[in-house]
This record gives sequence, structure tokens and C-alpha cells, in this order.
Amino acid sequence: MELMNFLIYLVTMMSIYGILALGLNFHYGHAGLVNFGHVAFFCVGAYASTLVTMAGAPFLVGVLAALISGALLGFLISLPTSKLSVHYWAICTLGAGEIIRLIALNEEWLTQGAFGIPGISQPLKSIVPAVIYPVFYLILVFIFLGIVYLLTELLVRSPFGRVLKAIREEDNLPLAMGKNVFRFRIKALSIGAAFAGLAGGLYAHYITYISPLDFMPIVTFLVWAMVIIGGKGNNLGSLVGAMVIVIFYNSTRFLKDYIPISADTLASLRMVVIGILMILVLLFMNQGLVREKKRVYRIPGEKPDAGS
Amino acid sequence: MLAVKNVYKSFGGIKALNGVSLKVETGSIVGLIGPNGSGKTTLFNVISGFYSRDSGEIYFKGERIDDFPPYEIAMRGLSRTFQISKAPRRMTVLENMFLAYKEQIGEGVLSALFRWGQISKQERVNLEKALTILELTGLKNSSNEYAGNLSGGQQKLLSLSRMMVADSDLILLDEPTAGINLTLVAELMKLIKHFQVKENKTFFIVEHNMRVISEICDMVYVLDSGKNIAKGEPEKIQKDEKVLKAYLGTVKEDSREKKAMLNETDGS
Repeated sequence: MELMNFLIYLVTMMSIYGILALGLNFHYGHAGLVNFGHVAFFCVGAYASTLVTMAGAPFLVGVLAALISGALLGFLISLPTSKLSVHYWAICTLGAGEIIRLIALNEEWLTQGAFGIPGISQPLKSIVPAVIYPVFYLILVFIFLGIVYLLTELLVRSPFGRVLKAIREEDNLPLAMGKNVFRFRIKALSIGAAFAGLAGGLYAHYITYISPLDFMPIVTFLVWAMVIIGGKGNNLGSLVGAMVIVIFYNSTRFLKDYIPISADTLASLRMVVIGILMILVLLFMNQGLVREKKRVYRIPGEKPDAGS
Repeated sequence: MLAVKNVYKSFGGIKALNGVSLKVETGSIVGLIGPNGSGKTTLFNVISGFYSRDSGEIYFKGERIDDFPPYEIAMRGLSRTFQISKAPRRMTVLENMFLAYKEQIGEGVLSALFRWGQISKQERVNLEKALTILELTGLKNSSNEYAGNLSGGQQKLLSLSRMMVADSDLILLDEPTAGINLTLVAELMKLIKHFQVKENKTFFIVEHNMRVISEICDMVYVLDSGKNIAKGEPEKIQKDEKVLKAYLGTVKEDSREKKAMLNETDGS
């Protein structure tokens, strides 16, 4: 039973991180935005949903607030930065991530600062029996994951996604083709940020306690590892990456029974393991575990499986 | 179609454009030549909105465009290519072609999510047109190939093909035949001529290959150090002394001989 509960916990975390990774993959894999502040959207979403539900709103409204606040923050960050080139932009997002965490830490009237907010409500807690509640919540998260996956796939395959793909490499050509590159970039950042915000809301209601410590820059880098190991530019890859990283991240829990190293050291070692994993993937499968798929059009009068 | 009036542009102390004025008539092919560093590409960048001019005016179809960003100029029907291919390497030839269409329904987020029917209808029409052009330019067999895998010559053909689906009225080509073998150059010239005649397009071309210039251009402008130094039909330009001077360097006047002649007349 305990193992079962742990597995359900793992899959729930995989799904929440999966949504986060889909958001970052939308930024980096599809639009070429090197976003080092992904945790900011996650954080804002978590606090937004928490505060809104604490004020009496139902779960769905909270989650919607998480989504919108993520998108809004993305929009705000991209407004002044949309014309910056890749590296400068990356530094800005890194800064933005820290700013949001520091606000959460210091604006105690709103966020209760370092103490964090305990006792965050869970949807239908009184109706669903406690024994199966984790499964119920998992299904809930699955539904959101499914919706986000569907939306990203739709966007990526649309003409909108095609323009992002061009911007991913370089600005000048899409500009010369009449695309307002800056506006596309703002939209892309907001959309991925909305997903991250949603993930934040789902996280808050799952763990039922959030504090600024949950939103350290390390979260961003875990999500980056997911996108890179899974395969940038492929949504399925992001989910695979989320699975791999969440498993590795939690694996040390069990290792402490078999390896005579202190729990603290083991906890630190897991980042080393993830680092090694990333190096191995980049060396031997530099496209990630699931490669980006080429969009192949059927050409009349040609064999349908031309090209691969 | 296009009128450039007294345009200046400098980078720090370098005057890249020093009062350039020129005109491109509707339906013509106009060449722009000049030695390296004479400001040809800078002029293209200023016209297409990639650089802002310091002063001067640019009119396109009667409308002043010198303050517009590049994407707005493109949307008004003025497209350009780049000297070095900028085709997104991780997009296929067909995806590259699709990029060039203006007014695509699915480029907005909401319509991308909800108007699939209309999008797929538009995509089908666009695909057909793209394939027709690719057939013409000989890239059809590479339709599903990543643009990054194309050869240099094919990249140039792709740029031209993209211009054709963009359906612009005026097309600026920046060295369309640079680094291309002679057979392909002939092919490209034929295509440009074809699009001018059949599709009624206007071209403005930066080119170093004089054969291309003399065979397809109706009118040629010559730039040197950011200034117009000559204009006219290709045959006339090739004989123009100022142009030869710009290309071959200053013709040294034999001063000693002159002096000697002067001395002789003095002495007698």
C-alpha cells in the first residue's frame, strides 16, 4: 500500500512537471526562447490559485487564476524584452524568476513570507473518500495534462507554430516575410507561461503547502533537464523527460537503505546523477530521447512515404 | 513603384549612403551595381526597413515607408532576399514556402485553436501553389527536405521561390547569383525574366555578375561610396567612364608627360 501511494505520488509529480515541461518546450523547443526563469510562472500560478481559493473561490476558479496569472506575468516580462537577442533575454528571465521568489518571500501580508501557506484546500475533499483521494487527484491532473498536451500540439502544427519555428532560428527571414516577430514572441512566452502557471496551481492544491523554498531556481533547471533529455521540439519528449527526471530525482529515497552514505549526501548526489544523465544524452543522443519530428507533406503523384 | 529620395545613412563615421536617389518603374528589372562597400546592401536594408535611414524619403506605391518596420513593409508588397541564405535550416523546403504567405488564418492563436476547417482549406490551396512554384524552380523533389540540407545554389532557388509565393509586387534580390555555377545562373535569369513577364513582378537586383545585369536588366544604377554615380541602360553603363573608374580605380593621368608637353610649348 505504501509503495502504491508512492507510485501514485510519483505519477502525479510527473504529470505536474510534465505540464511545466510542455510549457518550457513551447518556449525553447518550438519558439527558441531561452527561458531561465520558468519557475517564476510556476510560483505565480501556485500563489494565485492558493490565494484565490483561500478567499473562497472554488478549485476550478483557482486553477484558472493560476493559468491567467502565469500568462500575465509572461506577457509583462516579454513586453520590454521582446527585442532582446537570445543571451540577454535569457539573463532577463533568470532575473525575473528570482524577483518573483523574493517577492513571495518578502511580501508577508500576501504570502506569509518564509513560513509559507499551509492548509491549501483540495477539490472535493469532503466527497471523495480519503483512501482513493490520491487517485482522484491524479486523474484530475491527467485531465489537465491531456488538455495542455492537446493545445500545444494544435498550436505547434498550426501556421502560428510554423512562424515560431522560423523565429526559433533567426529573426530576419520571418521579418522579411511580413511576420511581426516581436508579437509572436510575446504570444509564445505568454502561452508557455500560462501552462507553467497552471502547473503551479495543481502543485499547490496537491501538496497543500507552499513556501518560497518550493520555487528555487533549481526547479527551472530540472525542467530544462526534462526538455533536453526528452528531446526539444517534441511534446511527447517533454513528457518522457519529465518521467525520467522525476524518477531519478526520487530514486535516492530508496538508495539510502542500500548504500552507506548519509541521506544528506545522497540528496545532493541526485543533482550529480541528473547532470551526468544530461551529459550522456547530449553526447550520444543530442536530439534527446524522442527526436523532433519532421513535418512531411504528401505530394500528389509521389509515393506517400517519401522522405523520413 | 519605388522611389528613393536623397537617403543618407551612416554607421559611426562611415557614410554608407550619402544622398542616394533612384526610381524603380513598375514591371521593370532594375540592377544596382557598385564596388564592394559602396552601400548596395545598406540601401536594400534601408528600403526594406531593417535599418532606419538618417534622412531622406522612400516611397513605395506612392506611400511613404521609411518609418515602417520590416514586417509592415513586407505586408505592403515589398519583399527581399538576403545575400546569405537565412532559410530556417530545421524547416523543410515546403515549410519555408508556407512561411511566405501573407494573411494566413492560422497565424493567430485563437484561430489556430478553433478554425481548423478554414485553416486546412487555406493550407491545401497554399500547398498547391507552393508545389507549382517549386516545380518551376526545380526544387519539387526536395519538398520535404530540410532547408539546411540544400546546396548553396538550391538555397538561392528557394529564396526566389519563396518570393514568388509571397506574391509581392516589388522584389529586392541581394546577389541572387553569387556563388552559383553558370548553368544555374542561366536558369535563375530565365526564372526572374519569367516572373517579370508572366506574373508582372518588378525586380530590383544587386548583382556583381555583369552578364546577368546586361541580359535581364532594363535599367542600371551605379553606386560608389554611398553615392549614385551613374544610371542608364546596361550597355551604356558598361562604357561609362565614371563607372569604369569606380571599378578599376582612378585612371592615373600621366602628369610627367603633360608637364613635358607644357614645357615644350613654353620653350618654343
